[in-house]
Amino acid sequence: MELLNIFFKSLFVENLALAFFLGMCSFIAVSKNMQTARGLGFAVIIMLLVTIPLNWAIGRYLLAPGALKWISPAFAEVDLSFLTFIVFIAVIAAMTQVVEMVVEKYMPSLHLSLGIFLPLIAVNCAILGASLFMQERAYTGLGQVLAYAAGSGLGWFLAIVSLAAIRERLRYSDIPRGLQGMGITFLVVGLMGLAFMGFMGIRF
Amino acid sequence: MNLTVILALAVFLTLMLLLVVMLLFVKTSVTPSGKVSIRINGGYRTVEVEQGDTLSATLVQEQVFLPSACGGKGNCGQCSCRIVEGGGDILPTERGFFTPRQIADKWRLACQVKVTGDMSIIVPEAVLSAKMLTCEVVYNKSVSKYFKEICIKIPEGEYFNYHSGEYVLVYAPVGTVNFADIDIDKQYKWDWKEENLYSLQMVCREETSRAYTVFSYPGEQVVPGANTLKLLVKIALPPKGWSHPGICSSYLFSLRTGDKVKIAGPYGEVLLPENAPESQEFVYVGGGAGISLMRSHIFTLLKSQGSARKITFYYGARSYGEALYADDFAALARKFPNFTFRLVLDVPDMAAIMNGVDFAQGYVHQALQEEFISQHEAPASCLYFLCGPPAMVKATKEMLHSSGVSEESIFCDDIEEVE
Ligand SMILES: Cc1cc2nc3c(=O)[nH]c(=O)nc-3n(C[C@H](O)[C@H](O)[C@H](O)COP(=O)(O)OP(=O)(O)OC[C@H]3O[C@@H](n4cnc5c(N)ncnc54)[C@H](O)[C@@H]3O)c2cc1C
Ligand code: FES
Repeated sequence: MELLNIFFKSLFVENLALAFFLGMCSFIAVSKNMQTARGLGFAVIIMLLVTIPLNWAIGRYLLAPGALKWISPAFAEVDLSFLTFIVFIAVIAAMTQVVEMVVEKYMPSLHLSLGIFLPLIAVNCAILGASLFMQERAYTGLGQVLAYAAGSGLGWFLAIVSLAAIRERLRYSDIPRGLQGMGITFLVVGLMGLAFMGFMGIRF
Repeated sequence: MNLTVILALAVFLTLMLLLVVMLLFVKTSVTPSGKVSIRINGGYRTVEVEQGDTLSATLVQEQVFLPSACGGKGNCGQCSCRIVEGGGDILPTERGFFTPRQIADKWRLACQVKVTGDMSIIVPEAVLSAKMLTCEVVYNKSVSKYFKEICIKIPEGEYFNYHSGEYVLVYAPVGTVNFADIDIDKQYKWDWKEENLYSLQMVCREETSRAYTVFSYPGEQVVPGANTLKLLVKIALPPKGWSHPGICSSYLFSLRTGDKVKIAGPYGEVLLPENAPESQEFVYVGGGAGISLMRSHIFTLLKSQGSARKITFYYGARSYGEALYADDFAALARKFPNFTFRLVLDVPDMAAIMNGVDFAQGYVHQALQEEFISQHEAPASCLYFLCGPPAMVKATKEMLHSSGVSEESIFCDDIEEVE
C-alpha cells in the first residue's frame, strides 16, 4: 500500500512535468510529434530508474549528516550534505554516458528510437530535480525510492506523450494568429497541469 | 571542521574517481573497435577503416570528401549519400532532409551515421574526384557594395578539373575578422561607413566550411599557365537582432593577395545538359546571386566550347549598380552574334541612362514575355534555365507554364539570398 501510494503520488499528484514544471525545455521542444516524445519519455524513465537509487545510496551512505558512521564511529558528527548538488550532477552526467553506451551496444533498436535524446537528458532538470525531491522527502528504503523513481519517470512520460498527442491534433485546428506555436502550447501545458491537480485526492 | 574538509575531499575525489573508472571501463568494454570495411559505389573502392567515428569523418581519412556546409551538425543536408548495406535505420534528425522515396532508397546524412560495422555506400560521382587543396589568393576585389570577386590559384602540379556550375567548399579557419581591416574598393567605402559595417566582427570558433559556386568557366585564364578559380561572394550581414556577420563570407572578404585558403571540391549537379541538340535555343533568366552560375554556363558555352547555338540571357536586377557584370555580358553579346543579352531593371535608373546602357523596365518575367515569348515562333522548343532569388524564379516559371512551356524544358535553381 505504502509503495503504491508513493508510486501514484509521484505519477499524478506530484508529476514532475505538470505539477513542478521541470524539464520544460525538452518537454516543449520534443513534443511536436508522438514518436520523438515517446523516445524522450523512455529515456527519462530509464535515467530516473538508474540515477535516483544511485543518488539515494550515495546520499544515505556518504553525504547525509552522520552517514559516514559505518566507516568509523569518529565520523558520526560529519555532515557532507553540502556536496549533494555537485555529486548528483556528476552522477547524472556519468550515468547518462554509461547508459547511452550500454544501450547502444546491447539494445541497438532502442538506441535508434532514443536517438539523440539520451545525451539531451544529461542537462534535463527533471532528472536532477527528481533526485533532489527524493532527498527532501526522506524515503526510508530502497523499495520506496524505486517506487518513487518509477512513478516520476512514468509521470513525465505520460505528460510528454499526452502533450504530443494534443499538439498533433492542434495542427489541424484553427488557432488565432498570435497564439500559434509556443503560445498555445503553454496554454495547453497549463490546462494539463490544472487537470492533473484533480488527482490530488487519490490514496490507497 | 578540519575533519569535514578532509572527508569531503576524500569522498568527492573517490566518487569522481569511481565514476571516471566506471566510464572508461564501460567505454572500453562496450564501444566497438577493430577494422570494418566500407564498399564505395559498388566496389569502385573498398576501404578498411577503424569504427566508431561518423561516416563523413571516416571517409575524410580515406580522401573521400563529402561536402558539408554545416560542419557535421546535421543541418545542411550537403553530406547526403546512400547507405545500401549496414548503417542501421534513419534517425529522426535526418528525416527532414529526404522525401519518403529517398528514405526508401536509403539516403542518409553521412555526418549523422556512426560506422559500427561493414557498410556498402553510394556517393555521388563528383565526390570521388573531389579533393582538398590549399590555394593562393590571386586577387580579391569589390564588384559592388556587398559582393567581392575572389580569384584563387590551384597549387602547381595539382589537377583540378571542374565543370561549369559546380561548387567548391571553402574552409574558414579558427580566428577573428574585424571588418575595419577588410579592404573595400574606394567607391563603396562610404556606403560601408554609412551602414556602420566597419564596427562588425566575425569570430570563427571552429573550422567552418561553406559552398561557393565557381563563377569562372573551365579554361578561363587569369594568370598565364596557372589553373585559377573565381568565386563571387556576397557578404552575409547580420539580420535584425543579431550582431555577428556570416562566418565564411566575412573570412573570404578579409583575404588579400598571397593569402592561403583551403578548399575542397569540385561538387555539384547543376551541369550543362550534354545531349541537347545544337539547334535548341538556351534561354537564361535570373539575377542576384544566380549570376555566378549563369556567367559560368554562358561563358563556358561561348568561350570554352565555341558553341554556335542561340543563347539568350534576360538579366533582372533592381538597379544598374546591382546588375553585376552587365557590361561584360553586353560586350559578349557584341562579340558573339548568337548571344542576345537583355538587361531588365525594376525602375528607370539614372546611372544606366547616363552610361548609355540599354535596358528594359519592369520585372524580368514580364520583359521576357513581352519581348521574347510573344515574338518567338516556337517558345516551347527552347530550354529555360532559371536562376536567381526564389520570387523571381517562381514568377518566371508560372509565366512560362502559362505560355505552354513544359516542365521538362525548365531547369530551376533558386538561390536563397542571405540578407
Ligand atoms: C550549392 C551552393 C552554392 C553557393 N554559392 C554561393 C556563391 O557563389 N556565392 C555566395 O556568396 N554564396 C553562395 N552560397 C551560399 C554560401 O554557401 C553561404 O551560405 C553564405 O556565404 C553564408 O555563409 P556564412 O558562413 O558567411 O554565413 P553563416 O555564418 O552561415 O551565417 C548566415 C547568416 O545567418 C546569420 N546568423 C548566424 N547565426 C545566427 C543566429 N544565431 N541568429 C541570427 N542570425 C544568425 C549571420 O549573421 C548571417 O547573416 C552557396 C550555397 C550553396 C549551398
Ligand atoms: S554535414 Fe551538414 S548535414 Fe551533414
